[in-house]
Amino acid sequence: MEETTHIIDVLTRARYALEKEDTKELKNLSDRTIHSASVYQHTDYILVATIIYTLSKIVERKDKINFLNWRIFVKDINNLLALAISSVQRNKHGQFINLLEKMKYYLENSSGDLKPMIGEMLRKASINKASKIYEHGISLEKTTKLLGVTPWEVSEYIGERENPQIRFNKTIEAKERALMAMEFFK
Amino acid sequence: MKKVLILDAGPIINLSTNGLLEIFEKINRLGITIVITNYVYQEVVDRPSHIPRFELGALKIKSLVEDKVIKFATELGLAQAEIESETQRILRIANSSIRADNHLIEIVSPAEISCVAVSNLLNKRGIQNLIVIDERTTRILFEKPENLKELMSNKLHRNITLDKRELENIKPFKFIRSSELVFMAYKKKFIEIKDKNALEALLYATKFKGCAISWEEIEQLKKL
Repeated sequence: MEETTHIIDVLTRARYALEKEDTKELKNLSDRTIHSASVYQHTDYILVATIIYTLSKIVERKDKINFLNWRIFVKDINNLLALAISSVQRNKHGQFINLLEKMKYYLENSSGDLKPMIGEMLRKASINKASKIYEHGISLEKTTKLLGVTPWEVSEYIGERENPQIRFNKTIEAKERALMAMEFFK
Repeated sequence: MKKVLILDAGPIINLSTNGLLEIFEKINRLGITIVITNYVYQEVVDRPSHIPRFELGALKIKSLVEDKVIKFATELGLAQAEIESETQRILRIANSSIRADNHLIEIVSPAEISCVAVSNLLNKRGIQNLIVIDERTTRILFEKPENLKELMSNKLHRNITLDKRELENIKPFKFIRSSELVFMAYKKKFIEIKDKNALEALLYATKFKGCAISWEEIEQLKKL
């Protein structure tokens, strides 16, 4: 029940944030979904996180990339979001997933010349979300399987980010581990 | 006495993307057998072979396997069925150890756990072995699971519980990371670069390709 309320809240706020072209809020909403995506690992949470993050990136760059028919795009996405909210409210889980898939398909195909760019944004969104789920304590391979990306793509991305939780990584002293390696290869 | 180095996907990808795969050939010359599992092979060869950006890396690794520099764990005399069964057993234990609000969280996948499974089977046969793994979850889970509980509590803001009873029965494993691997390679003069900053550069390179090592740990390694 709590998760349902949460997802409705995220989608409702996402509609408003898209209308207001609020990139920061869209990114925050995507991150909020990551907690549930890490625990339950359901396709729907992962798709919501990826789609909303991609929307934030599109909003961020829409002027630079000369996004045509912007108002129609916003209207269409917000209609799909409204239907998705309604399906969650009515406990129609299958329909909810279908609507999310439809939204992803719409993003991939709606923008003509921008299609490759938006495809790349979606791919990068998946890598970003994978790195976030990894930060939440899920293993790298598990995370990449959930997001449909490879460890090759995610390893580099996580390597370039400073992880504030790094203190938990330390399980034995670096010196001890290095000596263990040297002893083994003696 | 036989020694076996078990590689997870991360360190192979790390050394490949850093152009350091030759380290494996030099380790081989020390008489150490390097192995991977089928799950790891899928991650480092099968899947990336279809992605243009990673195809070359995948082919280089495939060539190391064909040249027997890296072998399959089954070539050690372990039956595939035995590895699979042990992988599934440990996977069940690992994925039953952490709960968030009473909901079990699947934290690991068969790929990294298959390395742990091979290590466990080799331990039972008295064969000295070391697992090389860059991703932190598996390493923390088996070395200090309380840290994983703390990490997840911190990130998820939920009530996280840890059940380590079964985990304790299958310990201990020995883990190193790409960082310790290149550290060893440097000390053994496997690396051709003679610059005084070579060790530092090698350690930074492994970090930037996903090895879970802190700056503080890098500083400590530099001083050894």
